[in-house]
Amino acid sequence: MKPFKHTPLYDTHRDLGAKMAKFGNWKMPIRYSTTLKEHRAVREAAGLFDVSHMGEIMIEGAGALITLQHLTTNDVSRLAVGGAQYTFMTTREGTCVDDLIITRIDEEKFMLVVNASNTEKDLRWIQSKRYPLTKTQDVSEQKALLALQGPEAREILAHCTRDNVMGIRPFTFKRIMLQGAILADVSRTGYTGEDGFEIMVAEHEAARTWNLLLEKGREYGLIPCGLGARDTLRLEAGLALYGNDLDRDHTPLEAQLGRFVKLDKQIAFLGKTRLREQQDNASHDLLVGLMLDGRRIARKGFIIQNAAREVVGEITSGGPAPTLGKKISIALGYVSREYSEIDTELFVVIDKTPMPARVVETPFYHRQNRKKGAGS
Amino acid sequence: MSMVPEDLRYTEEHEWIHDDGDNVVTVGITDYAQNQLDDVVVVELPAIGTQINQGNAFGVVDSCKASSELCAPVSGEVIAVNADLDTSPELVNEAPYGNGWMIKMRLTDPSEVEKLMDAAAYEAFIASLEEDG
Repeated sequence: MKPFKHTPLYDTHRDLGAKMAKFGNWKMPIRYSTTLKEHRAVREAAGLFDVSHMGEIMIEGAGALITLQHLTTNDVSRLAVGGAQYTFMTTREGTCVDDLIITRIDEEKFMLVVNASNTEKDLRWIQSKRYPLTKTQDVSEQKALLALQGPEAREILAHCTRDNVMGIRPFTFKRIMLQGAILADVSRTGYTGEDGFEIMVAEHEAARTWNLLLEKGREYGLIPCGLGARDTLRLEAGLALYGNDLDRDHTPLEAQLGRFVKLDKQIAFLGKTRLREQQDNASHDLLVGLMLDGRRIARKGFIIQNAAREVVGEITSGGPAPTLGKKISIALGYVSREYSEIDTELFVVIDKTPMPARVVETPFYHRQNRKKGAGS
Repeated sequence: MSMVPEDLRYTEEHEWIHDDGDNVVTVGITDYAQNQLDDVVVVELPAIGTQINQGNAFGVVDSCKASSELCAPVSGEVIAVNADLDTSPELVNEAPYGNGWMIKMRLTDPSEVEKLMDAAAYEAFIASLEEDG
């Protein structure tokens, strides 16, 4: 019996000499070289990630739209066919069951991409609350998902297909045929703060797709990248991670992601009443970005204090800021509202020592427009 | 394959010791250790003059995902610290046995050094770890 799940690219990663490690109940590549080398490659050229461990759930048939409107915070009626939308599923208390991307394949046909560790839980959640005629299906095992991210991502993808990819706008997707007759659904989305694509293929095409992209991308500086760099990149980009910054104890409003919560959409969603109350009261904790002078790195669970050494919050994610400099580290954490203003001076307790930390805007890193027309 | 220089002694916590002579040793972490750690982004070392006992923590290394304590391979007084690691912690990854050295100590008990693993023993030790991993 296999104790850990493998993606279709497990052998490919082993052959590349990847350092593998447990990620939930998956064995995943953490890095192929070093995390910072892979991080820099994505910022400067491109990186290729195997994210096939993510869950894919198909929702279709009569009532699919209503089901999703009821279960998610964002407004699915504003999601056009061919579009992708970031959203949350919340409990009755407004707290996060998961964060996810919904792509609309047809009027009543949607693909949800959910966090790997939440796939089964999300499926049961949706199944228990769906409109009776709506079909739900976990298609994760049939799919492989690769993320091609970086300023060279579009050029690289364009060299892998005769189809037009330069015209794919952000948060939209298109079905294309890659060289070698590989059918792929590509969306202009990602989790790194760079331009890029998430490429979904049938699981038996995973290795061919991976090898094609690496081969065509080599001259552009494309290298394989693991979960280590995925985490340092998303943190620099100020992107929340479920299990760290998002969980069942916090609402999207507390995470300062209220722009993905449409309290006034036509169909009331699960959690709306409590979220409306929370918004009206405006007294809740807030997730903020912190910049520390880089003596030490803040880690999840570390205490945040004010100048009077009172506990005012807790770190949820922390790490280096490789693109911003060596003497800086960054973190996300929840603090009491009165300490959430930009430039507030706080302290993070690291090995019993309070280290100075300042509240800063997120994202910590903003990508440059490197090429003409790259801003679309 | 990890580098394991012949002229050094080693601990199970993956530190190396070089006998500089005159009861002074240089201490760092091994190639195996730096590879396991991934990129080192912060190295915190003790002040000159600090007394450390064998087996106790003498500093910390932060990598992207984790913090690791540095464990004193022998007892003694810290007489030098590699100041370059403050601005260039990556030296630990690039040259763990050279410019990535960490501290120099004056030994309290020179006999502690001989009891450490030699290169062959350390190579066998890390080989056994790799089998389990």
